[in-house]
Amino acid sequence: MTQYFLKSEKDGFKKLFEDSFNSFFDELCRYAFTYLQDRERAKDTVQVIFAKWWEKKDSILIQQTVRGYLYSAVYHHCLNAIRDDKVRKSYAENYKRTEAEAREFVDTVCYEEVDFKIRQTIESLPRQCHIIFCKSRFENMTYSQIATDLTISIKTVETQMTKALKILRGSISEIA
Amino acid sequence: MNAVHKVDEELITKYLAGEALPEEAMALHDWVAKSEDNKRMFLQLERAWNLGNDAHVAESYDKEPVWKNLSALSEQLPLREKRNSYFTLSRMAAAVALLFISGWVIYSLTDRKDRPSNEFIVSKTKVTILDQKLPDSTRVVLNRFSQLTFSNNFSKSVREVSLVGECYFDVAHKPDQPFIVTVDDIKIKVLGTAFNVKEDSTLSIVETLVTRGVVMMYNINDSLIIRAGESGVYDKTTKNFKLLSNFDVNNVGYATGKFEFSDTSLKDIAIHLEKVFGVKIYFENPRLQACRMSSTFENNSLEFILKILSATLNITYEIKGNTVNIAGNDCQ
Repeated sequence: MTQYFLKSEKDGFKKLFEDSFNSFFDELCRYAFTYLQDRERAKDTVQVIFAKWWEKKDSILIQQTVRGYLYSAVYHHCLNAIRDDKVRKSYAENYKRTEAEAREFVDTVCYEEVDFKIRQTIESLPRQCHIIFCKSRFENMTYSQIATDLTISIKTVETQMTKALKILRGSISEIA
Repeated sequence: MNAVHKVDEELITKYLAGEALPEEAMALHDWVAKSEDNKRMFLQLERAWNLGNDAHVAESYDKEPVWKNLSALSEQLPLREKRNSYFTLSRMAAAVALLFISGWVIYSLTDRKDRPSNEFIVSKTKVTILDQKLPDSTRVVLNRFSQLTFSNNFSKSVREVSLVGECYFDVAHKPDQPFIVTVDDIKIKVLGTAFNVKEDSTLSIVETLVTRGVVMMYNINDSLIIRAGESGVYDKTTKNFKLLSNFDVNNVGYATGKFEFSDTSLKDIAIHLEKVFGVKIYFENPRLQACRMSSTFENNSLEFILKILSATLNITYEIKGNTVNIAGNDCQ
């Protein structure tokens, strides 16, 4: 793994910038995607992070790896994005609206057999597990929001989420 | 990073659910890259999170366009070679202007209508014809082996769908929300009308038949207005549009349920019936294909139509699953 330390020495910086971009662009996008659930937005976020880094290159002094710096930047940027424009909320609303309005349309045509079986699996999850998984997956609530909502501990949310995904993985590998 | 994070199913789940801290995400990415087994386990869980839909999972992010934007930025904001306070101010002004420009670039990128990562609803059909309503109550009849895609933002301001194959649209009239069909590299725009779009990859054309109203077919260079009763053809190779003053209504029979045969050969009738009913028609006696007849059908079954044909032309037919055998002597 390429590890660089942030030093804005004039000759090295351009190379460092380019190398970092090539090495970390994809994984940073993937990380951003887990928060934003939108590939294009994830990509834009990472672009902004690199642009900011370039702009601030003379003033920035960070005692960590470039990779750590970039990951933290993506993390904070995503959290702000979610808070500011309530991505999660609108995403959930869109999902519901589309789901409701286009259900008839979707049901008959959109889901290949795999999805149908997975939906059956989701329906058949233990009650609490089902509720927690749906809140996270479809309503895009954070673990802590779910914990508050259901007055349970975050640890319980983590455990139930893990369980749900394990069961889903099992049913998918059965089909595949 | 010194903190060691144990990567297990719980952490992977957390990551997929958008809960991972930067160090956790790094640990996970490293862990996935470490062995094939790890990668397999991660992909399985990712697939589960995506509910089996792994269409975009493996795809890497296209970094070329992003790098281009960043290069433009780095050219205009050069590295500081020497500290000269006289230049600092103008540099700052340039930086502010650039921020504005780059902000605009990013904005316009995210605002692209064809942004691929919107939540898309895909209607796909193989052996059946789908007669459905879109969220705006536009009727769409999707022919066999065709695919229609629209985003979850559909019907917000512009109603956009993209098509592969053939589809008949009866568009709900909404003057302030144009309805746009993207096929291949062209678009077809309407306000409220009924028309059929067919992308024919064998002939390398896109054909639009308008049964009601007016539509516009266009690409970045050219456009074509098509009125009811006319059809427009776009040649994908030459990138030219052509207007035809009429079309065979039987071409949209699969959607309208209407056939108008006037002195039509049995060969052509069979082609239309095959298309609409999804059957294969065989002639035991090839000469029968030359028989001609005139008749109009509306929402009739295949059996009914064959009965009329056999009575008129003095032929016999047999339906076996998806095949129809037509037999008989020459028609009088």
